[in-house]
Amino acid sequence: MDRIDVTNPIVNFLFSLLEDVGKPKAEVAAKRVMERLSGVNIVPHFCRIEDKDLDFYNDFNIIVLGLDSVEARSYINAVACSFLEYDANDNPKEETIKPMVDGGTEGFKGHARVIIPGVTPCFECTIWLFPPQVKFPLCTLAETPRTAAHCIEYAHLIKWDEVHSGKTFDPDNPEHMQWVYTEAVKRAELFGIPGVTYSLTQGVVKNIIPAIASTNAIISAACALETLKIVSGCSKTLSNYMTYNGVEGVHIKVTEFVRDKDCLVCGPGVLIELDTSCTLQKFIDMVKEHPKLQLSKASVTYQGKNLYMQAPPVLEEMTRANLTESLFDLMRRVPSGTVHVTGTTSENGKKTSGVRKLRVAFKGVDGIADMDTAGGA
Amino acid sequence: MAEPKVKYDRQLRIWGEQGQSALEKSSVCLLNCGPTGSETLKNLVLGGIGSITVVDGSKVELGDLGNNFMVDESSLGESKAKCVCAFLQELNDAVKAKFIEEYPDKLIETSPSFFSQFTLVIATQLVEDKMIKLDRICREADVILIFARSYGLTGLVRISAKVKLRIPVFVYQLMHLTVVLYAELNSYCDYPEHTVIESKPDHFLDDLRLNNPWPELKSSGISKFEIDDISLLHSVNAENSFAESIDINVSDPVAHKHIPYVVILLKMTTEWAQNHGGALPSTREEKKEFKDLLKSRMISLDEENYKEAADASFKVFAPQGISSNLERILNDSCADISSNSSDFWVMVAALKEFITHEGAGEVPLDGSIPDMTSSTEHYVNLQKVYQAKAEADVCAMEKHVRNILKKLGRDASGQNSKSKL
Repeated sequence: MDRIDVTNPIVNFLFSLLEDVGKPKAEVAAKRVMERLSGVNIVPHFCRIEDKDLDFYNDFNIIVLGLDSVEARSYINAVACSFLEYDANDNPKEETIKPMVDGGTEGFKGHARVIIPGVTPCFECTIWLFPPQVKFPLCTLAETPRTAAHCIEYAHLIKWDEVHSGKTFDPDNPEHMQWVYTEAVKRAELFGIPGVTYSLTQGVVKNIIPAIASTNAIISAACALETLKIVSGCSKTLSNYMTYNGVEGVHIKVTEFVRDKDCLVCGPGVLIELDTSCTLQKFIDMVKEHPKLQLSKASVTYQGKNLYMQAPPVLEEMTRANLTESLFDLMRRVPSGTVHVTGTTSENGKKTSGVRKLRVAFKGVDGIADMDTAGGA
Repeated sequence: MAEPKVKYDRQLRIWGEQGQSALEKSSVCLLNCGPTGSETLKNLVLGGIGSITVVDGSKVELGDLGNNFMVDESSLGESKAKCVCAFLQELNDAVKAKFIEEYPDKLIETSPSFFSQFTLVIATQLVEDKMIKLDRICREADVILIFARSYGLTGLVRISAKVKLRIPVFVYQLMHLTVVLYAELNSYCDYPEHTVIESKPDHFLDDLRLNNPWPELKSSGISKFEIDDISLLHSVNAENSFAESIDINVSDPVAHKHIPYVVILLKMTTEWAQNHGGALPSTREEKKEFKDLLKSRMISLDEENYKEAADASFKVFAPQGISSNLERILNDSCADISSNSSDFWVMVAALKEFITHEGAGEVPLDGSIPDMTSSTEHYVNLQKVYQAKAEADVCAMEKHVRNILKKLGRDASGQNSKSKL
């Protein structure tokens, strides 16, 4: 969904400073590569990653992640893992594995990793690798500011709303940024805090990650190579996480992380046992309450078929009638099956989109005994 | 056209304007513009290197189109150096891009003096005997040389620089994704750019001098050895003795939870030393006891400052000292300077003086402190105490540099003696 910013061309040679600033990144990148290499077909999609349905992603052999946030990685990881199916012995079915190659950089450092869902740890299995995100408590900003960043965040998060009631702050609007900078300087002067500069203001407000073309080239080359190895089968892939650090000398380390056996995302899926009479509406309510899921506003699909969609309105209307049907009938009276549920989860007050895979088993159907497992829904 | 400051914003946040200007002053020569060489230059051109010179005698062939993004169908049959150079120039018009249509092997044989004009030469896909010859030429001319070769899924990069050299060689063996790092570290380099880059290192350890506070910091009522030296405390001016005025036993809970952990640690260390004949916690048990003592002074469970103090208590136990890397530089024979020593080694010599005299075994203070739970007033004042010490250290360093330059009979007026280590 990103558009080209004036700082992008020096780290991405596909973008021209003269012609491309403000244009969609996806479209310009696709055009430039196709101009250069005949016979290559690239289809750009200028949209949010959440705008594409599961089928869109399922059509690819491999998904390469050039994402810039933990949330976005989490989302695509859940999508790729949702295709994964397990056989009766809880071994992943090979044809349902959707490999991912992920990379990221910050300044002189970077990482590249290969995720084979069901085989190597998925993004969620090793989510603990990320340090907690630094956020300033509002009381610090309001009462005891100490650093230049505190003054900037005060102007950005508190003062802006006080002064501009209802007007949203736009980080790409230079006037808005200038206003925040000026306010931050005033506050810093009031408290005798040094160090507020325009550049720091941009850095704090837009969370600008420092970047160098070379680190990006090293990491993207590693990602491209792993992708080549996976699709061609020409050699063994990276197993499974490479960190690159070029800050002092060069240090490259490959770590073989292990899967989290209880991972909700790449595991066989949360087992939910239902009565055959359970309606889709009741099932959706259950998903919201389930302690391990807590997915609200759930949309439900089964084998690529939409059982209920919250949006867009057209689809909602088309699938609304299913809500009163029994899930057992909607799943064509199979004793058990995997359904995909897309919804919103909220963690620490922050809402994120999530996809979860659920194993639904119907009680008393076809020799499946009442398992009566503790902790089931 | 965007301002360079805006255009380079994302990398300026790493190496600052000094780093950028060093980059813009350098000239790089590339030998053979195959995919490895071309990609290397691409990354340097984007970053705004001063000038590039591409040397390659071959023409663009069909086989080049599949592996080199810098050439396309329209360049078939043309000079590869010319096409790659033109492509690179388009990426950044601030870079001076030149090309020479010539085989590097021939240039090495016939015009060794050609290479002396560059800051750095990148030689790709050369055969061994030419590599050896080029290495000799570059060393003689004091030009840094980087060799690079790629073979399918493996490759190597090797840096070679004159005499006091460091030759780090790393082979990135892509086939098995194992990385071998050989470092024939006889000494270390004296590339001037390593001394001017205002590096923005990751701060694993903030230099707070809690183990060995200087008088103004001690005036917070804390001293390792001289806790009885009341006269010292009185000699400190009022502005600097802010920490002393902080009562860590204040009963107001809001004030209590806003005492910076640095002050808590300094005061608790004093208390500890008083009860332990002037010694600091040293054994495992003592360290644990010290932490427990810290915890016992909390008046409520949500006191972040006390938690921060406990987490940082190890900084009290160990001296900052001199890192082994710095130690090696200080002990290098080049630190015994002569009239033709570089600015870098003059600064090293000055640093040595500082450590023996003012520093009492420590390097100049950096002066920055991390953010910590605190009231604004305490934090700002604490920051001032550290800043003042850092500035005093810089002045002392400047004095040493001037003295050394004077002894060497060199002009000290134009010297930038601001040291960054």
